[in-house]
Amino acid sequence: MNCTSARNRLLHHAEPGPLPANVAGHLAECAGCQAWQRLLVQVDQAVATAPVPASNGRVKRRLIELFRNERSAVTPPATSVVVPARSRMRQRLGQLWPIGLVAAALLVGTIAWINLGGKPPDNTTAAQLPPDPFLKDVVAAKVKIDAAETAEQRLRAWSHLAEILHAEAKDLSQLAPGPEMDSLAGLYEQAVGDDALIAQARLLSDVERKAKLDQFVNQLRDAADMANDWAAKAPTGSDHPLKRIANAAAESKAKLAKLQQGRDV
Amino acid sequence: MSPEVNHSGDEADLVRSAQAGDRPAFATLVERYWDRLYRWLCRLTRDAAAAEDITQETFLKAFAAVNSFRPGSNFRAWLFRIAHNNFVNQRRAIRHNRHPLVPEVAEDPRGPVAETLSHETVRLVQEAVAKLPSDFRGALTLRVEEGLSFRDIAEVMGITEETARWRVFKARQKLMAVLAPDLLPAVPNEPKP
Repeated sequence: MNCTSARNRLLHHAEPGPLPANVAGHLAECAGCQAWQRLLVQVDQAVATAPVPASNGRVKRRLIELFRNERSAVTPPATSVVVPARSRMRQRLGQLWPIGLVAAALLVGTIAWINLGGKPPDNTTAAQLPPDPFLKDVVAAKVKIDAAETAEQRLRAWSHLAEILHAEAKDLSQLAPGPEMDSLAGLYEQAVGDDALIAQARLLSDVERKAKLDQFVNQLRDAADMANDWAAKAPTGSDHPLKRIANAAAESKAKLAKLQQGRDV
Repeated sequence: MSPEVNHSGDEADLVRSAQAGDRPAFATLVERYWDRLYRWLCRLTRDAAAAEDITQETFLKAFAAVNSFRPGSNFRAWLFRIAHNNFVNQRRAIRHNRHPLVPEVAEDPRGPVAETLSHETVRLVQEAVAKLPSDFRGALTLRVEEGLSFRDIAEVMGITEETARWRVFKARQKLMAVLAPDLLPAVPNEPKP
């Protein structure tokens, strides 16, 4: 193990707990990495104890008094949940849900489940498939997209779906290189693409774009970095789909950044 | 029984009471979480006045929405999630009005751990942390200061657990890249192939 690998492992293991044997072995022989590890611990300590300006406490006291002195029992307002009419959901289904996405998700989920150690279903009907957390998340995300009332809500829902697909790609890349990973990459490209996430961002006003798009830009930046990182270590058959995911994220990030600056894409 | 005794029960009881409309119970939760929320928001906003405003707004919104909190889930993560949403919504305004935190005027670090670190180390780390993107800074401080799990960090910041891990990893990597040349002058800093 070289110093770069050892230090990356140390960054991942900067939490309490035993170090992997190969990292511990390298550390025992490398003075540079020993010093580097000590500094890493010190940096964490300094971050945790770094000072912040003291507040005079007036706002805090006032708020606490406000709650303590109010003797009347006031029930907090119930949270309202917007439930769209079924017809509207159906109407949006065609617009917002690419044809075949559910089928593809079912395929990917089933393959993932089989690879994770499940038994193949005797009869290939969806009703007999075992519960799959990925599918459950995908369906829940789809419902959110359908139920969204505004472009911002739909943007958030598409972004959430993209994150689910992105997380699945990491696991699946080790288990099922090949066509399943290609399907997943295709789904990701659609979720962050012009007809989904970008389309909703376009619908935002200039003020909304400036105020709201930051976090999506940052998420896509991270998604691209992570997928590139995974691709570099992935088995053949998963590396290319992961690169597609990284490229799709980077491309969408660039588009959102342009929209944020008031430019058209 | 005094109100203090009434509200010294565990957090789940306090939340249940607040959900039933018991405002003093919620006051105890404010007392319990104000300082740590304010501290985290100071790190995110780098503006003490903005951090205090967002802290107050967070508790008011949390009280208004306390009935939507699911019993059994993590109240702290739920509260920090509201704070993060408030921060994201106000980030642009904060950027324009920011009065940056100046390490020299901030209060001294407290506790035995801080005493083992030199002032120079603390100052350099503070400067480096301030230069991190706010989402990296937020994730890192939730991890090392609040001790939240990656799952809870993901919940707070509205990201996946994997992204939470990634942000903490990248934050540490960036800090070490900046700090190692200054703080490790006497040993080989450059990794060997």
